[in-house]
Amino acid sequence: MENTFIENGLNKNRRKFLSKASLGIGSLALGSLLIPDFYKSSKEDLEDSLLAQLPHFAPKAKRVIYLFQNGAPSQLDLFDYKPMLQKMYGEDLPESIRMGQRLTGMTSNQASFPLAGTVYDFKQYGSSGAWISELLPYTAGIADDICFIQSMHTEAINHDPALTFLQTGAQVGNRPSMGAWMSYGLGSENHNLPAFCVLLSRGKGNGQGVYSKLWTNGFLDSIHQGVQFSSGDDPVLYLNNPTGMKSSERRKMLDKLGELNNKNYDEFGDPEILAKIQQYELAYRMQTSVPEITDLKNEPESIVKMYGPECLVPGTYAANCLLARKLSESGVRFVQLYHQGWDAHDNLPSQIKGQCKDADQPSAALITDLKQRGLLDETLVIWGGEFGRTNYCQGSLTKDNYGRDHHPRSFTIWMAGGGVIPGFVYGKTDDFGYNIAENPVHVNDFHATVLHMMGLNHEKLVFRHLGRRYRLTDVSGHVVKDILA
Amino acid sequence: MHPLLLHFPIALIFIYAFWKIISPNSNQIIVEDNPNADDILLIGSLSASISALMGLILSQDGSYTADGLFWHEWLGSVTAFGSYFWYTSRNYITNSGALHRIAPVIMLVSVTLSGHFGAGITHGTNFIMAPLTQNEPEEEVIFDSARVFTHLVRPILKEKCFACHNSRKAKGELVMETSESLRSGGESGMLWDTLNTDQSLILQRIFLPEDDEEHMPPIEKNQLSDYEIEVIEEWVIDGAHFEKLATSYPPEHPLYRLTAEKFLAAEEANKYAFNEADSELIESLNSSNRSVAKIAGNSPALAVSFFSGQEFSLDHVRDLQKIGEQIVQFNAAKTHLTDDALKLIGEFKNLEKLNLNFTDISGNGISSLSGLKKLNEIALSGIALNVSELQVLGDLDELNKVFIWSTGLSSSDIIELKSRFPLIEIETGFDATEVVIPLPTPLIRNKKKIFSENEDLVVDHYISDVELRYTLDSSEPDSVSSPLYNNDLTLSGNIVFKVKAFKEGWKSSETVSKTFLQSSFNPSEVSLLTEPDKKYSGNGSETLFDHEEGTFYHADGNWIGYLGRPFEALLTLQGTPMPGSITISCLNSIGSSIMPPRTIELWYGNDPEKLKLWKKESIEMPSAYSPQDFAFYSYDLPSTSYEYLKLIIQPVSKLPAWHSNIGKPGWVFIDELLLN
Repeated sequence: MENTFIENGLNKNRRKFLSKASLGIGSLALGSLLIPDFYKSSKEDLEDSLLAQLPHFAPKAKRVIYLFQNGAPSQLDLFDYKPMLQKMYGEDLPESIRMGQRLTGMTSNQASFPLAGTVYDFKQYGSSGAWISELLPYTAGIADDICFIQSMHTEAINHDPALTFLQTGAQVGNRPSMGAWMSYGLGSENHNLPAFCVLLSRGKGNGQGVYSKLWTNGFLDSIHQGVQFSSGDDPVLYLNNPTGMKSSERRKMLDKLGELNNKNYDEFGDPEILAKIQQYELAYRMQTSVPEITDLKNEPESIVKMYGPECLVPGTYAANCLLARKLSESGVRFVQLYHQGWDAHDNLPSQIKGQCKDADQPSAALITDLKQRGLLDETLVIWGGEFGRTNYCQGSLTKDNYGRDHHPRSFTIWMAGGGVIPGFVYGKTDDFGYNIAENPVHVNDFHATVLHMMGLNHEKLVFRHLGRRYRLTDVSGHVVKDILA
Repeated sequence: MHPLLLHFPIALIFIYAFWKIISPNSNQIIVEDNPNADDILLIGSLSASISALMGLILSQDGSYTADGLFWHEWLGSVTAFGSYFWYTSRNYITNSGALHRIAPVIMLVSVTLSGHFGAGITHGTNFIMAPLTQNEPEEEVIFDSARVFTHLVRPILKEKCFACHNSRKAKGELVMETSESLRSGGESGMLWDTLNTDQSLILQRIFLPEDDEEHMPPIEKNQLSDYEIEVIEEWVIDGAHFEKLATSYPPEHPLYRLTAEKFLAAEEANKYAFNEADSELIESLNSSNRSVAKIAGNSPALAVSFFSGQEFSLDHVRDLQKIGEQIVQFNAAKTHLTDDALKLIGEFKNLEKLNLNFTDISGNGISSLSGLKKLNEIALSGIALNVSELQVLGDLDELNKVFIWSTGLSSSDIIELKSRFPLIEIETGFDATEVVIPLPTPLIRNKKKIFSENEDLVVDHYISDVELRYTLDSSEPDSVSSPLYNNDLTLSGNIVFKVKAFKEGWKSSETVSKTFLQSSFNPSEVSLLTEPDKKYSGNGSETLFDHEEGTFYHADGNWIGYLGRPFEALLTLQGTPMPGSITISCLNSIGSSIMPPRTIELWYGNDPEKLKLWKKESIEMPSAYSPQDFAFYSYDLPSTSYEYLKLIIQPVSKLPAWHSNIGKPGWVFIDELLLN
């Protein structure tokens, strides 16, 4: 940023200087010595790196829909079937498994850690024989389209840092979100919609907050920020013209404002001014494109029956899944959903049942819908939370009731479409579902893999900020090639 | 030391020699005039000697056995001695005509040749021409016939290992050129251990730290890439088979994937024979509703997508004729694309993927696509089609997937198509005919519970053609006897409105219920004779006639609450019409000990001190917990004329036995009084 300011100032002086004194190459060399990246505009830089990122083959995925299950669903009650926990129901978690690893403050004072096997039935589905809980009958129905990763692990043990880590690649805030990186790297397909959209919904279970820092542009241009769609009459806030203002007047006003802003840019060279002009223009175009997209009334009956009755009720997870399909179909690179309510520290069996009722059918419908439109192969859908839940009970354990605490050491997510192997189970946890036994996938690896599927090399998608290059995966991350078709 | 120093004599002697060659004849120049130039030769000569010495020491460890070593040693020595000799006798040479020209040439040749042989030792003998010549012409291999060893592993060994481990040099007595020689290993033993593959010698050498003496390839040589390491590792772990085809492994096997990565990537890159379109032209074709982009940075192929169906016109496709050759993907779903545009699209010869879902084309128009011989996927959902119109699919040789749902084709049509085109996957979409799910609940648009004028009751549903049936007497609506809502209801009086949605092929929705209370006018004055509880005092007496209904959150400021003492309010009716009835709106929240009133008393008269009792009623207490609920109690008022109306509402003094706060007093909460 500062660099850009200096550059703008020097640019003019340099032009004057060169034309008047014609000092030629000597001064150019001096300039590049003083500021090494001086003659390399950030645009070229980006193009260089992007070209290098698309090495030999076209990316499979063009778009991402991330169905974030906020609050951390219990992998042990949904995907990671562990009969051992049922056999040892109520017995203490062996120290040889826990190995003194960190616990949250909510259970670290517990006198014992009684193992709690799931109360729900599991069956195997699809060609991969993936174990899926009876809570997810619709997900079971699309088992052959899904790739389960049972060996995800993260570093954070509490919601906010874990969520921030999964979304931005760092536990502290202010780094660009995944969607912002995609917008930065690939831009928008549709010029009338933002490249990165955010949809929120809330289940009845114990919820955890989501904040706009999760869809921030961080240090990237603010044009890459996620645009939140809300459920009211105004899906995007402040988008509509004030009452009494005609579209032509708005256009006139924006033209004049653009003139002023351009003048300002010429003077100060702050790139944020350009971002602002672009945002005004995008918002103007969104005045027509957004109502077109968010109107779910014209969806055919078969689609409504696929997503379930809730999909017509704005603000529900089902409606957001349907909206996500419409946005993605219209060229939005990254659609980020958050569904709250999975944080079941107590009464897990009943809480998770309600959550699954909300989330199961629409998630599966989204996959089916994309598939029947021929879009699944170019759209990557990701389903999962910020960490897992413990195999032992938080609070008191009864025959049919338990709670589970946060568990960062292993959890399950699933992906579908976009070039992952369909009907595949990757990674494995131990018999207690506590530690990872096979093929661990770290959050950085996950990010590297998703970028790879989008045709981006995570080591080359960089942005220079505060004197160093930043990446979504920061300094680590390996592409998990074993899950790529 | 030797590799570091050797460049000094090369550079210095070159400079000096060239200078000597281009400098004019000695007769005109007195060399003593620029003694510094001769220092160049002196330093060059000294560094040549030291380099030669260091080289001699280096060659003693015996690891260098290349053919060029002999000549490198001799020419190096010649250079060292020759340059020294040249320096000492430079004055004589400079002045001796012929030698003045010959000496630099000799030195140049000697430096060049010794340098060349030296480089041959470290970089391999063919290092200059290697990048330009393919000594073994690469045979064209496609993925299906690729052998893991021959086409994946051996090329790596050839590039990174053969330079030392060939049949002539055989460093460490290891030759890697043939499968037999690989099997027999070298002086340190066998390359792999079939019983304990991941402990194999070759892997150990690869995975040792780069600065370890035993690390292979040696640190100064070109290192293996991550991909190459993975290939060798997986191949050894798999048992080092020499003949296996990559396709003999299951797709999830690493060797299958690694081979695919190499071959399919290469095949993909060479897939398109046509030229790249001009990038400025591509840029200019991007507009607000049309995106034109390369499918990959290095590919000439283009993908075209249309967004926002409203703006679409035929010209938008006509513009694309300039890049018609390059378009491989075309997506115009949900636009007003017509059969005319289809004729233009039929000329995009290289199209592979075409999405025409929900466009304005007709089944007849599809015949214009018969020339698309490379098309492998076409989406025609949402277009009225019949089987004969789809005959054209047979002309599309590469076609393997068709999307035809919501096209009016019957299931027997689909069966016919499937039998006619057995190689084409036919996507018929999600079949909702057997799916029966409940309807979403209807939406009552009237937001406020309390209304004053007669008001239209507006009910909506997300699905436009549902039947909405309602009741006004708090009974459950049913699909037969309950009246049909037809945008024709007007609110009047106090109503408990219940509505439910019905539609064929769906389960009925849940019932939605809302209470409406009418308030025709307010009293001229209201005063509370008893103080409400401090925590729940709302806005005092004004709360009762502000038409703001309270919510289930009893501390929302719209409720006033009483505990242990009665609610008493005096309403002044000066200059108002005489009310026919009064309604009291209350909250039931049994869990929070908020109960229905125990008794309600109504007093009236013209003197507030001497009011007459009109009515006293006891309310029935619930007999168990029930969900939160709003209740209202309506009473007719005397038909005579009077100025004051007084209400006394007693809360429950002792909660019943089934309540968890048994014996303690209960609350009464009132949000509104309504006069009609």
